[in-house]
Amino acid sequence: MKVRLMLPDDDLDLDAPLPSWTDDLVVDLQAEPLFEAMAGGDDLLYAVARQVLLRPLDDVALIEYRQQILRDCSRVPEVVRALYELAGDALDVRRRVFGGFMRDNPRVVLHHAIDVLADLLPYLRRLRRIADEAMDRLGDSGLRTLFAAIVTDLDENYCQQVEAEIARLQLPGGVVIGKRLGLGNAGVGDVLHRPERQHLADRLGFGDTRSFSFQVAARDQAGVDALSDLESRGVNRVADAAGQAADHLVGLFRKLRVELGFYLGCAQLQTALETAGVAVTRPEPLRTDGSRLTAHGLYDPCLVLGGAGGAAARPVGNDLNADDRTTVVITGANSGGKSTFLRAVGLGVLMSQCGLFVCAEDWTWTLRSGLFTHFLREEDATLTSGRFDDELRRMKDIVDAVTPGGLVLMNESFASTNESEAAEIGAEVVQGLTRAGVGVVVVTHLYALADRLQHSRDEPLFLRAERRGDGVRTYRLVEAEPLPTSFGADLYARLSPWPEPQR
Amino acid sequence: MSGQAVATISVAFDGSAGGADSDADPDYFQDLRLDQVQASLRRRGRIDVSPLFRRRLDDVGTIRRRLGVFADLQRDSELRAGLLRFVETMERVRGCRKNATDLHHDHQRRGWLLEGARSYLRAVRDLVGLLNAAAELGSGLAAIADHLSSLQQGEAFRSFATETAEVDRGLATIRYVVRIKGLRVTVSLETDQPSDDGYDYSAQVADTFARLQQMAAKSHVSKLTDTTSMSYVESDILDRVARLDPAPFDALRRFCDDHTDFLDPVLVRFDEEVQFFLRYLDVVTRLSARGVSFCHPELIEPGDPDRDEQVEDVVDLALALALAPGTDGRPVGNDFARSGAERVLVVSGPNQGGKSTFCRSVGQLYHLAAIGCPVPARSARVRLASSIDTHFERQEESADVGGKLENDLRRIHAVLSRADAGSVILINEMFSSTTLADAEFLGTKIIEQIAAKEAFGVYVTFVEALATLGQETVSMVSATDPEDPTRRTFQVLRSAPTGHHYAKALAERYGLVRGAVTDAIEARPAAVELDRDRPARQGRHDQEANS
Repeated sequence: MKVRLMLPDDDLDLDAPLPSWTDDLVVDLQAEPLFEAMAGGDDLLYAVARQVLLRPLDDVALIEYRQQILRDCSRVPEVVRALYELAGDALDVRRRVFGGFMRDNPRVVLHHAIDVLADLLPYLRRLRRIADEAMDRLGDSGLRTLFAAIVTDLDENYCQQVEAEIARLQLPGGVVIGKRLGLGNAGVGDVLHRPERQHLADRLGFGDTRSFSFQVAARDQAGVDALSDLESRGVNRVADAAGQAADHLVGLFRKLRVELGFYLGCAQLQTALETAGVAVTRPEPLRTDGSRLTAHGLYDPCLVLGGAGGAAARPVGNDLNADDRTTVVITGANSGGKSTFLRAVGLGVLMSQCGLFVCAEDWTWTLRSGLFTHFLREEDATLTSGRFDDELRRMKDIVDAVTPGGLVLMNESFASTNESEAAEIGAEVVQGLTRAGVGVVVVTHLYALADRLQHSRDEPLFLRAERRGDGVRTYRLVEAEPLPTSFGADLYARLSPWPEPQR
Repeated sequence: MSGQAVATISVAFDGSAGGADSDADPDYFQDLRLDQVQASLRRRGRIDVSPLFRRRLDDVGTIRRRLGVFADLQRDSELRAGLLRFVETMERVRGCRKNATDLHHDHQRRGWLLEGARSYLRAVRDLVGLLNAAAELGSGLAAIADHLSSLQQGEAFRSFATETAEVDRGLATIRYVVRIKGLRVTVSLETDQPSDDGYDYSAQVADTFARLQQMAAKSHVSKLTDTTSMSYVESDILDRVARLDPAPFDALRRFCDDHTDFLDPVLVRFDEEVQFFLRYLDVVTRLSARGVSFCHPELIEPGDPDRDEQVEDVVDLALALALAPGTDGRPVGNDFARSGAERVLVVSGPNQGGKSTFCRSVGQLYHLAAIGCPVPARSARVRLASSIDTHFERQEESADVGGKLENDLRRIHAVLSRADAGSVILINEMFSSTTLADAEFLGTKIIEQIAAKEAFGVYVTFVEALATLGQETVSMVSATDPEDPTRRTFQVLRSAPTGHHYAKALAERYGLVRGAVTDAIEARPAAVELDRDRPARQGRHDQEANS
């Protein structure tokens, strides 16, 4: 019986290392509030959200698999929460008993295993009852498959079988161990005989052969220890089998909790967004060839979810019509919403490709093989040359990792060197990427770079951060070609007075 | 070990039984980091091959014999693998015989002697097969093969093998059952013999819980330390097994009385010596995989009219070994040559540019050539060093400048006094704490004297004037990238390049130009799968159960 709520043929491995560029992705997209909203203060939910969101799927069938389960989960939200909590309770019971220091003593291993099995058996029965009651309300999804398996595999007959085995594992009749001679004539090849054979031996002796017996004196500590060592060796493999059974049982509850945790997190995120009064859309991934990406009313959910600021402004939604475009170039006023929009695109890819809804009115896209970010970092401005070097190194890492069909988000890349060099290097990189079939969204205030890209064969889509005649920013992006000036002057003016020297 | 009888057949020495071994490393070992290379040849608890590694030979015949053994092993990987197995088996034989001496309980001691005999027979048989199968062995291994053939065909050896097998068979078929209930132990022979799993309770338990299986399960089999000594309860059980089935145990006792010492002294010596070759080749193989070249050096013998020396692509063996395992790459290799009146390579150039490494690699090469080992270079024609001396600046010595200078001069005086036309003298940043005038003056004197003795020297210095003293010096410079003077190439060449540093050049260095970016992505074999948890990633479930 497998849980399989995240992938049809595998478990979610929470400990699987994320790709090396993931940390950059989280920092650049400022994605923490998203994870926190899904977690709602629960560390496990946080870990699950992070692991799943940062590992976008690139197979439409897998995305649909999760979307179906997500739909079923929203039909029985209280059941999802109840099972998540039941699994948590079961694991809590275990945590009290299950120490990590029991190795190297098979009898201790065996007794721990018996304790675990006995403690978790009631939870197994409760799990079956909950699944049984909820079955009728589910559609056709991986969740229903799981519930069906629980009801069938964990029927009462089986639970009684488990109960009986737990009793036998106590070895009430002592041990009977088959052996042969090994190195130095030591007894090896221990096979612990079945309990039935112990009873047989009690009644009949060991067949018709002779036997010799001896007794170890109770006060002879060395003898008692030696005897205990022999017994330990005899039960080693049975302890292993019982220990593995206990692990599987714990593993079942653990996986149940982890994988349900994703859907619980989705529900919590949706509640948070609905409370804020913003729309989400459940997109359908396109199976067509080519590169499609069209969105309306796309916004950055992390602005709504607040984070530190608290005063969550209603975000401005923007449109993007980038079907069959390899390059999108965003220019325009400083603080005009360029970076925010870039982040919204990135989060849209991550959310849609993990099976989640997207923060937009609609979102129509073909899957990207990977998402990468290359943002100017203010914080590593320690040494000018070192900083440029660091930018190059990060870009090199992206080039080494990205595959055709991937998407790279660049935000003021190479701004740590002078404009003409930055433009030249930037254009080289963008064109190198697009020629390999990698999509690029570039935010830049460098006219030189935008100008170079405009005259390349890529025919980029140009968006510009809008500025009204009175200089006020609307945070809206419009399709417009780059203008040969920056808006630094008015930003400077807005922040006045400056401590400028008096003439 | 039994080899009291002197074994005269050797793969490491030619003719003679070998000279006196020295316990101490030569003085230059630390400066040249040959101590680190030597350490990489050590194996915990195994035979120490340092005596063979640290002692230079003065006899070209022995060097050729060793290179011949290396050639055999390098040509034939089967042979090498087989000899590694032989060494392992002989190690096991030693361990068994130690148990057979150290333990107290008779049945147990004899059991270990029997195991030692079995292992030894296996070692001999495998080695004979191995050497017979190898084609065209050099004189070293051929002598061993001849000896083994006659050993194996001898009557004593053959009857020893037969007896071992018979005794072993008798004991291997015994099956018995131990019942423990409370403090009572009952021992009997197993009469009805089902398949070994027929009574196995663990299979039944696994079966019961099979449907709950979640993952590749972590093993809960406890690691029980198998002590070779038995508790008295175990030996009591063994005694009772012997009483229930006495014949095989009697046969074992007679076997042990008849064969106390069965090791052949030639094989014992071969086992010790061949490990030197195998371990050094292990280093060769590891570093070859990273692109380090190795070759058999051509040695200039005294009296050879052509005395020019030439080496291509030599690397610092210690540095190559120190590169983290698993990382790619190798140290930068360098060429050097001297001909005619040239005596001293004077190495100058930017700091941290590979000067010391170059100096060490040259010194190592002369030592390795003189112990009959392949050297880490693409080609090498060098003299057989009659002496090797080093003088390396050490940071911690610089406290008392006046005293230090005097010390330095005393030491170099001794070195120069005993130098001859076979000497190799390696000097690294000597006099770096004196004035430039002093350093130039003293350096000139020393270089002149090395040249006068017709010795070979490497002189690493910050005093560039020393590089152009005359026909006896060869100037070499640690180079930087002409495109980017901030980048050191770790190459030591005969020219001093310069260059400039541009952002574009830097970007090019990272491959961030259009064509290189596209090529890098398109050259990738298949799309990296970012989405799936591969089933192969099963090792992590350990934590799941407990977390």
